Amino acid sequence: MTPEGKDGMDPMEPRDREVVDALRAALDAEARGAALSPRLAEARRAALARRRFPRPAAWRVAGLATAAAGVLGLVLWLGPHHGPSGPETPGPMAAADDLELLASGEGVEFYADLDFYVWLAEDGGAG
Amino acid sequence: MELALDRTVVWTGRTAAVSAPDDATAALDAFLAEVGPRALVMARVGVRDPDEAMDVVQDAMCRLVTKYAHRPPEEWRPLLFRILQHRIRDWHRRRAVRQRVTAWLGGNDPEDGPADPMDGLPDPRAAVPSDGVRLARAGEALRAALAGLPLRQREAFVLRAWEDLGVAETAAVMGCSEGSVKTHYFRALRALRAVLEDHRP
Repeated sequence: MTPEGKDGMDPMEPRDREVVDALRAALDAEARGAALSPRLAEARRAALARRRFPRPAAWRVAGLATAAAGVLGLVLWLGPHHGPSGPETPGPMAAADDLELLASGEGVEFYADLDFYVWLAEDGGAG
Repeated sequence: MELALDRTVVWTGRTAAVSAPDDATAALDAFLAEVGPRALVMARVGVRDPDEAMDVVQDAMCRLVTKYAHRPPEEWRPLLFRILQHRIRDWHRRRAVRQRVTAWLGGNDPEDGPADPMDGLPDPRAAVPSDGVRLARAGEALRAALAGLPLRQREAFVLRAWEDLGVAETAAVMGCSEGSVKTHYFRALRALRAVLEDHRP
């Protein structure tokens, strides 16, 4: 494609077309030769080697860590044991105990009937 | 077309899609592999010295990669050409300063003065060549004449006629008004037309 008649340029005369076509052919041929240049490939590799990828700024990482720590502290502070009223709810330590129970090998039924086993042990000791 | 980084990502002109850093690097590599030779020819036309032209192109590529690689791929082409034209102009400014210093010191710069556009042109009256030879000679003559044009005319002509940039795009790359682009282009075409006339049978 040539620039004739577009962008407000006057349509190209045939002799101008000849000039443009001849020069395009000459420059295309020169570019084909340039494409084989090892120095050009080297220059391209050298340029790409200087590419830098954007990394998160240190202040941004520090800000995120601070915000996360703040949120965690707030959750622990305003947790269920600090609730307004109502039945006593387990605090963080109690929650940790629950996790330990769940992680242990004992069956959940054992803990569900824990009162029964306590009574059995006391009753058995008495009897 | 040479593809570097052993990847199969091919620069597809102005619609390359990039998603990850590796893909972006491969797309950038493919882009430079495609446009690099044309940029080198432009630089040769601009500075008329093959070694200096290579330095100018490498400089422009580095600048594009380090400063503008994050921009959308469709912007890389005009950006590279813009950087290249700036570098070519810088080269001419430095050379002019060097020539002034050399003249002040009383020396002679071998590159003094603008190149004669007629230098290196084949003699059109030397023989009666065939059409193919005549066209090839005309191309060589025009190429030499192009290198002899004033810098801005060269830029306008190469960007418009060879790179197919529109007037607005060319103006953006050259950093001038659209009217200036038209003027430079017209003057270049007129000068080159005269050269071609000399090669008519």
